[in-house]
Amino acid sequence: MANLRERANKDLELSMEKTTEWGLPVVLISPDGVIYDTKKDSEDPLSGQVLHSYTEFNADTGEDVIIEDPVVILRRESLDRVPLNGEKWGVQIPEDPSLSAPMKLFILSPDKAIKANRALGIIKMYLQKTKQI
Amino acid sequence: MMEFIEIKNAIINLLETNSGVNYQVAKAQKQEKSAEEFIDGNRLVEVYYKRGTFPKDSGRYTGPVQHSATFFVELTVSAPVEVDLAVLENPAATPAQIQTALNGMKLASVNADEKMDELISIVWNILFDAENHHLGLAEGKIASRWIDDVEKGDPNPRGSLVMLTATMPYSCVLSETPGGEDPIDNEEINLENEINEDTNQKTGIIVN
Repeated sequence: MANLRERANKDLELSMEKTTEWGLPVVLISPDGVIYDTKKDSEDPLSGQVLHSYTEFNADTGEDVIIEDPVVILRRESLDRVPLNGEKWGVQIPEDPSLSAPMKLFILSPDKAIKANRALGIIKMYLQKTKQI
Repeated sequence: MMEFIEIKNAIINLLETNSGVNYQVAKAQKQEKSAEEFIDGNRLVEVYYKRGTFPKDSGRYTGPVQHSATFFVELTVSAPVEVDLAVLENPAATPAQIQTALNGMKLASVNADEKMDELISIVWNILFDAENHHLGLAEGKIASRWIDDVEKGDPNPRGSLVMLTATMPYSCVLSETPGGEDPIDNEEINLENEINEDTNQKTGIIVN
């Protein structure tokens, strides 16, 4: 019988990656130009939890302000290569929280470190907007 | 109304007239800023009266008073990462091409820093241009105009962009004339020194 940690990880696969649950498609582009759009050792599309914005309370005005701040949360087990801080990765996510939205390219933020929850085997990546050079 | 308001509006008008495609001007401090609003040619320039001092010995209790005013010219830029999207979004791009494109990206913080340096240069040159010495106002309206320093803040990740601000204090001396009682006209004051012929008496001074 799997221990609690393994079972929690398995539950995450269901809740985070299934597109009928929280999952949205994600495409990773590694620093050496390799495109990862499927899960490790699988033909299934790579997916994870994608958050596009969050709400912040402005104490001065008493208003809630929506901050556009895309975040991608992925299971390490689903990745052929795990992004590390300081590496230059491209990340494609849907433009808005919808399965049918067109994919948009962002860059792994060099200003906010990747957060890794080793206990549950997930990584949280912050993204930055891109513009044609 | 105090004169500093006219001076502030003159600075705003001067910067607005010369903005072109380089920046936008706000006429007051923005309470809430969204990083999305200040990319590229939408860099923000805010002008507001920050503080003033009234040296006590520079004027009288009535009549014109010297006002050493400081106006803050606050600059805000935000920037995304710049990268060769034409390659990265091309399904036919090779790994080598993608790698080159990723390596060639310009970080958002670097981008924001460059955009800010450019904006500081543009604004400083407008304000210090010899033709703009009087801010388009009548000569003598302001004196000793100066930009004391420029201070740039730290790059601040705001959502998916990086935002950067800088402050440029513009100081000058102007004259404020309060209302109320008219000041005493100096020319009408006569001082007469009347010396009593009696040498034992003290000298009297009559003021008319």
